[in-house]
Amino acid sequence: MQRRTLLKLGGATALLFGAAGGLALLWSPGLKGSQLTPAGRLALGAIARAVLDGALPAGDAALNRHLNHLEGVFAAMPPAVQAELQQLMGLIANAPGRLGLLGLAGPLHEQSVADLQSALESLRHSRLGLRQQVYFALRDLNAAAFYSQPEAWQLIGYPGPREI
Amino acid sequence: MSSLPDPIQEGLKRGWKVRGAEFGALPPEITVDVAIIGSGAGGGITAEMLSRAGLSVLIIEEGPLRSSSHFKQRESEAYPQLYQESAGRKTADKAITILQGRCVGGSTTVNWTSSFRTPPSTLAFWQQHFELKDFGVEQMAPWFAQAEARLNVSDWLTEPNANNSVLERGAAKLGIKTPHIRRNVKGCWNLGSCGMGCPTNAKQSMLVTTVPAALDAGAQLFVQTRVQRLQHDGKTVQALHCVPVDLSSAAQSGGCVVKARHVVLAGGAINSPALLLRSQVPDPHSLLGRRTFLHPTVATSALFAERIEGWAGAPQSIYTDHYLETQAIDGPVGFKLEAPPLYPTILATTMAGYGRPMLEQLSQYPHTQVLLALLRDGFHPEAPGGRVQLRGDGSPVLDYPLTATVMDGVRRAHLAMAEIQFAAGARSVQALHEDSGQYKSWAEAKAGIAALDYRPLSTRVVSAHVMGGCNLAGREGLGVCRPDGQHWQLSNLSVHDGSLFPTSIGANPQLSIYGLVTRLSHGLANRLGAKAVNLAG
Repeated sequence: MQRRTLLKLGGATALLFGAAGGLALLWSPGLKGSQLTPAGRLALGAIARAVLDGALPAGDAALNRHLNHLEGVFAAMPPAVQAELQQLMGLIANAPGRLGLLGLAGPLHEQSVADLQSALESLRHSRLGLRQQVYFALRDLNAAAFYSQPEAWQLIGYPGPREI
Repeated sequence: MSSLPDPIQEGLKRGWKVRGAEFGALPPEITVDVAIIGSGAGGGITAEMLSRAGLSVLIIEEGPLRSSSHFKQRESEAYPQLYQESAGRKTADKAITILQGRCVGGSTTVNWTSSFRTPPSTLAFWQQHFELKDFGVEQMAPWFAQAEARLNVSDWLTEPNANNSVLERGAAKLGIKTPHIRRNVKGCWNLGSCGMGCPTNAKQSMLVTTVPAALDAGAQLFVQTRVQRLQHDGKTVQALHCVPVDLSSAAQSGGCVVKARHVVLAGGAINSPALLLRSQVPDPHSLLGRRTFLHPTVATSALFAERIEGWAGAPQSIYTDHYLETQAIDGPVGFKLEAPPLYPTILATTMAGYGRPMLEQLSQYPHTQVLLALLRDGFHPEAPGGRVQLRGDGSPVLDYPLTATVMDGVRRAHLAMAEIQFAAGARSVQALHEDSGQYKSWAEAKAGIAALDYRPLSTRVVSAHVMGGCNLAGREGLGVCRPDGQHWQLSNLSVHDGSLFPTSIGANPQLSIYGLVTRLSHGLANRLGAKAVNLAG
């Protein structure tokens, strides 16, 4: 995300909270440092199921492994990028961000893959740069974390590194 | 893990003077003749030449020291350790992903070995527009020859891999010439994993050539150390203020003040201007960090009946300059065509789409072939490159607007590549654009690509060639640095990296940096009163 613009979005979301009666304290972070919070895990896990539909094995074990790999990706990013990722995860883990960004009212983990994919599709083809940036961030982070792992390689026919 | 000998581990056992991270805390203060910031193409050459000239040299590198015994050909390990921002560095609007090294050896540790001298047309443009009168082909030739000899730049006589063969075959059908790419390798195993660090030490990167030579000659090396700012009085640099950083580049406790007679900045074309901006060095003509070029790079993917296995074999061995040479250098943006190696993560993050369609595409990976076009930016007035800026925490970000002129080049490049892929027998071709179809014929691709809306973000654009921002010029108001590499305003500061280029190169830039910096380092040794040293020959 372009930092300035995302900050604006974050600010607007916080204002929404304020208008709703000073509930800003209820804003739950999705990411603390490079670690996903429980709320962040649920939200990003739902997005992962949509982005990696057909590839990510069913069940909690594979999803948890994937989310752990994502935390590894976050940890490798410099502080300024981690701060942007924290804003992004905050938005998808909280109701105003979810509604404003994805047009989804309920928690992401309660949505169907089809509904999540419709939301992604709307971000992907948006005329607003910021919404497209969110799409690419969510798509690329999940794709990078998943396809860098040997367990994904058999799906795509990559034999892995040659022995030296 | 590679079981081959590791020259870095052997050097460390011999007593190389390395500090930082696992090699021990930095000293609070140190004084040397020359401090070199960065250990990539520019820093490595400079370090070898100046230390062999008898000067005391300190190399300061923000990334870690990793070597062949660490290189396991896995993206999940290579990107976080060896690349800026884990290979995910983005421009300000996130429309371009930048692959840039951040480790000892810099981008030379992870590049794909393609070695081209600076094209004559580029040098002529610099002579004409930037008053660099001594930068003709003849004047540069001996410096390139030295770099080529030192780094074993030579013809690659092995058959191209299937990925590169498509370019050769398709272009031949269209009557387009495809010369072979020279490579800087010695005893290459043809593995294909150059982008993750060479596990066999065949690639003649700075990691295994000039940096060890400098350390053997007594140079010191600080790793995982960032120069936070230059302390100066507007005329000379008095000290460098350094901080240790972890693998993510986050600052750690401790620090070191470096005092040096001369400072050579070689951090690459984003970090070098950024350090000068952070340090508020004089910039009377407001040129610093501007005209930063990327060779914006776009691609088309094709499916073939036969297996391509783009992960295997020398990554790049065939190219064509047909689309550079058939038009004016300052006209519509031209492009060089090459084939990139295909690794799972890079491919998965570059293809369009998600979910089952993405998996369907990726499951064709062994049959997938990709061509890329490097767009020659910086020559047309409406392709002026980008501008390095600082974030709130002082870290750099490049603002690079993809102008309509550049986007017109992207469309023409997609068309040219699709035509070549179909000529080579592709069953289908897709432009790496969110709205592209899987075109089944050249006629269908021609119509489809012509109808695409070319906007930033909708088109995948990457870069592995960051250039400019501290450009050379023969006159003060035209550039940040003099033709000998010295900063126009600060007398004991030189820049020795790709940020010196006044335009993009129009070819993979590693050899352009090597040749230029060989020349500049030879001159700098003389100016510092040291003995004359050649890089080779």
